[in-house]
Amino acid sequence: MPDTATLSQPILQIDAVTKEFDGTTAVDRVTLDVAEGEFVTLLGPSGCGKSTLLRMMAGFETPTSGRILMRGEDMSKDPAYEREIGLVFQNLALFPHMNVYDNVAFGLRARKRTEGLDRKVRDILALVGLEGFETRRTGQISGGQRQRVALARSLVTSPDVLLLDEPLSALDLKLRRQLQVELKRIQKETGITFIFVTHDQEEALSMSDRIAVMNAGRVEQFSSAVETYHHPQTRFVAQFVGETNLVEARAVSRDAVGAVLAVDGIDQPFSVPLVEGSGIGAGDSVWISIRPEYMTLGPNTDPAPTGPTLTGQVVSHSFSGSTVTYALDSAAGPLLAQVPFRAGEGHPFPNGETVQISWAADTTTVIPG
Amino acid sequence: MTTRAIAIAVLLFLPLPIVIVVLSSFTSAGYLSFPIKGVSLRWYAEFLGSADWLKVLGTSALLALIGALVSTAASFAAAWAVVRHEMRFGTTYETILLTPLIFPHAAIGVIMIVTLSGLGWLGTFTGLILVHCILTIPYAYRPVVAALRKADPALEEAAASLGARPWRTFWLVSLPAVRPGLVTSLLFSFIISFDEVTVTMFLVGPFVMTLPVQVFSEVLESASPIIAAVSAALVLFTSLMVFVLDKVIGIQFFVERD
Ligand SMILES: Nc1ncnc2c1ncn2[C@@H]1O[C@H](COP(=O)(O)OP(=O)(O)OP(=O)(O)O)[C@@H](O)[C@H]1O
Ligand SMILES: [Mg+2]
Repeated sequence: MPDTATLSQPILQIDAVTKEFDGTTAVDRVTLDVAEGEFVTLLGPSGCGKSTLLRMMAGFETPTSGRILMRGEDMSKDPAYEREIGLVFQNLALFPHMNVYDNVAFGLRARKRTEGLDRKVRDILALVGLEGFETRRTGQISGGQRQRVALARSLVTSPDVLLLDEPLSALDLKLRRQLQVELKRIQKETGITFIFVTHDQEEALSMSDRIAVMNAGRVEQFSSAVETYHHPQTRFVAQFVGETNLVEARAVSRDAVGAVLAVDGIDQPFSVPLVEGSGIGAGDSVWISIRPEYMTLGPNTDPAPTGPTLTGQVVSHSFSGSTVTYALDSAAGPLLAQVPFRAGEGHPFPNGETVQISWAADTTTVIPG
Repeated sequence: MTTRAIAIAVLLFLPLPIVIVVLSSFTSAGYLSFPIKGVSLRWYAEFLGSADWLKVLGTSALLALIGALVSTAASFAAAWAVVRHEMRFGTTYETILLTPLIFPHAAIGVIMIVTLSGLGWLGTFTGLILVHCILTIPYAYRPVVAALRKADPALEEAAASLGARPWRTFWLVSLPAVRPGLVTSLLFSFIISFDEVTVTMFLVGPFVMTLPVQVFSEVLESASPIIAAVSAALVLFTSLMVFVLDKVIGIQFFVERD
């Protein structure tokens, strides 16, 4: 069990950090607390400032304003080589003139921790599955192996925090999935805090303890993977993390569980839960997000099910193994519904068919307008 | 067809003077002539037995060595400033470094006479080093700057994030990354300096003389076959250097644009 002191103090604190590059704001007042041993992911589209934020943590850029604290101490001004922070680069940046062993040993030698160096290097190479590759040149190994060398090189000095800037993005899908699992295992085994950058939301959801979703230099939401997917707090997060249906709604009134909402095309206002302190009151216009997999489709002739229901036309459908995703047109706008598909049953709804679309009210996430 | 014929003719005629010089160095006669009268190594023996010739050979070798080291170091520093620190007016600066390539050598010679005598270095070894550096820097600069442009700056950041202080990073990461460029610069500026005549002949004097200039002045005075022997030795030496260059980095490096 970690003692309470380490639990109460985050290992890394980003405190209102802003970075401007002559006029453009790359990182905008970002505040994050990272706990020791956590796997945190920075997720966001290209150009949203992920690398810039990471480079400030590593010490390659100085914040225009704000502070970065390590175990409570401000290190914003410390040079990179004095920080106990490892970095795995997107292009790996392995030293081309050294073999695998010397690449991995570099950090220990630079930090003058040569006692037991050979053991440490060999142990870490074993951890990443690269025994026997010691004398290979970095040009003589595969992409996945180069990835492991980069990881081993940064891990061997046991940094307080390891930063990883899209380390898997250059790999093919299969290798990528495999390395995601391994990366997660290595993180668990070493107990080192990982801050991982990606623009792949699936990767973020499958690996992270917590995800910071970034957009245009700002962190829009910082929460657990489950929370991020199921309770997006902004329209951007709802759309960026997974597929979703965003529908405009009006809060008619508040009730015991949350709010009663009215949506164009749905006859009955329905009651949805609200997160505490959402500040939504009667008369506000809001957005609701419903994941496609929570949508149910039925023949238009069926009696209306409980829960929000409306009709729409099938525009197209696409088959993806165990599910079919229908694109629908409705009075509430275009909608997606992902329904289970079993062999032999066929596509129940041809294009152009009018269908009944419904979902359970409590799977609705309300986002302030 | 005609272009092909011209190309073949050029290829044949270009090395012809060299072949003639080398062949005539093996003559046994007391004067330069071609075809040669008899075969002997006497002029090589004379060359290697002459204290005067060996002295200028030593001067040229030392001059080329120091010149190459200084030029390469200066080029590396300049290239570092231009590439890594994105120096303001970097391209202007590069152009200035390269001007000795296009400036007429006679003009440089005259300017250098004035400059060196102002400094009190005319006819001295120090003066020659200065001038040879100016002349070889354009050749030393290009390979270094090309290598530096190719090197990944993330390597240095990687080293820093692994705890390496700036000097360690420089020695263990930055320098090795441009080693082929540095070797090329060293060899190339050595060759240029070792063979330089046109500017150097303005600047030599009774106290300092280089091998190629000595050859030149001997040719004016006498037609001793020893000149052919010395020239042949120069050709052999230069070819060796080019061979080494080709082995180390490939001659492609000079032909390619960066
Ligand atoms: N050195 C720099 N000088 C000027 N602008 C910069 C610099 N570095 C980054 N930027 C700008 O800052 C913004 C954020 O860049 P950053 O590299 O952090 O994005 P990113 O989220 O890592 O994107 P990607 O997913 O494409 O790597 C971009 O608009 C970029 O153009
Ligand atoms: Mg990036």
